[in-house]
Amino acid sequence: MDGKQVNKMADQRQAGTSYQLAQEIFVQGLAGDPANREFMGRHNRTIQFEIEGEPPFIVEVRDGRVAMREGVLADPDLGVKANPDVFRQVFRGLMSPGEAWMDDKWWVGGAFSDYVGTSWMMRLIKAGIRSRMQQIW
Amino acid sequence: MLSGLETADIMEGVHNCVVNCAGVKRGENVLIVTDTLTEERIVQALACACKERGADVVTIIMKPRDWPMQEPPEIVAEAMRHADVIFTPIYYSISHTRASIIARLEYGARYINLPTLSMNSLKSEAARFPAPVISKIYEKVHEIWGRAKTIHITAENGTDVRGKILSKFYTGGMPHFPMQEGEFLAFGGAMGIYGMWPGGEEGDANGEMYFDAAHMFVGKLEVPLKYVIRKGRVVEVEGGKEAEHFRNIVKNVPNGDHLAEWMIGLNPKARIILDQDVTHVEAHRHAGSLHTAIGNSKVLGGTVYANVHLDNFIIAPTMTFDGTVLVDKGKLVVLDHPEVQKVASEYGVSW
Repeated sequence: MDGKQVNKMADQRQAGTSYQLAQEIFVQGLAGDPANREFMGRHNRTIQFEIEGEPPFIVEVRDGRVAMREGVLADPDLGVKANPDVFRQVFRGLMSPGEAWMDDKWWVGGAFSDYVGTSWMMRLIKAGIRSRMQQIW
Repeated sequence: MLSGLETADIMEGVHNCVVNCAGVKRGENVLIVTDTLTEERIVQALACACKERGADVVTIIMKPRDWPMQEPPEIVAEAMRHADVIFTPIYYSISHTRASIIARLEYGARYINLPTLSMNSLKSEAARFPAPVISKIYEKVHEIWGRAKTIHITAENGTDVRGKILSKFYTGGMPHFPMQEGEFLAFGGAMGIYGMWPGGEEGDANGEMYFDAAHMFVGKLEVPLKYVIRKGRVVEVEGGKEAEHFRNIVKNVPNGDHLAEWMIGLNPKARIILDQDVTHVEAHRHAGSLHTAIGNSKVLGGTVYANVHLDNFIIAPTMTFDGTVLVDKGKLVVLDHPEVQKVASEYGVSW
């Protein structure tokens, strides 16, 4: 392990992993706020997250509830591929998920026609961030 | 002064667009973005149909864009973020712009693109064609195309190209009817398409395609435009006077050589009209016709961005999927499927 890797690991410990941040936004923020229940319950989707250098994880939104676990799904409904920096900026509300997608900073998507799912996922992230910010402040 | 009752003739098509496809509802915020080159009666008819549903309608008239997919002014982009439904009867489309994509994906707007739409198109049988029948045709196409691993396209004009279908993520192309949040529909006097992103290098599309009509040129080409395709990129362009235009794009625009889509029409009533506008949108929806784009594939299931998206057209392709013929010399075979015929019968249409 070289110095750069050690520094990167130190940074990650300080900042938390992408999984932890996603948990904070999806589980604490999104699912922890009753105001989001109707919106969350509109669709059921599995989302596969692949963040560079970190273990892949899955977010499952079903019947208005959120479950998360590490792993890889053979056939997810939606996918997110990003480097940790972009992921953190989006999940901290510092970067728009749509703008990041347009600028090729991360890949977000689902089946060709699943704009419903893609749009819903981006708005879930924003709703989760909003709720988490309200909980904190 | 009574200047004719032509508007009445387009109302059935407009109703199909506003109610059956877009699903405009009471209390929704509808934004119509138009420009000074667009037929005023179409804009008025759209607004009337939305008001009749109880929606709150705001219309913005802007200067026509200088080229297709040029971003709209920021004031328009901002308004789009506050709309439940956006209609864009417009000359040069803004459907694939950052403004429209952010409005759809981040704010959940339903977006109905109506580029270079004519009164003639809105009066047509294709514009009135029942959305549930299109949905059934789509379903039957998806059962073949959406499950296949390989695609092979030929045509009597010399076209012979093959590729891989990498995953379900890259096939499809139609919204629900009525549309749901974030969805997109091109209503060019007709609706009904299905297609795929050829998958870039991994999709390994190879062969030659000869086109009967080309984007930005009115009419059928005297000399077919030819693309030589290698690993999902156009490496050679030949043809008549139009060829130089496409050669320039392929050579000089970043990712302008990227094969962005293969897409067929699903609408049995859409007409192959090539001599009335430069986009041939209704013809693209003609059941069994094929249009192929170069350039941007990002809103089409693909991953490659280019500042251009140009669709060229083949009237009568033959398309096979893992050896199963889906389109036979321009005839979409699933139109004969009993389930399609049953739904068509229920809605009183035949072809």
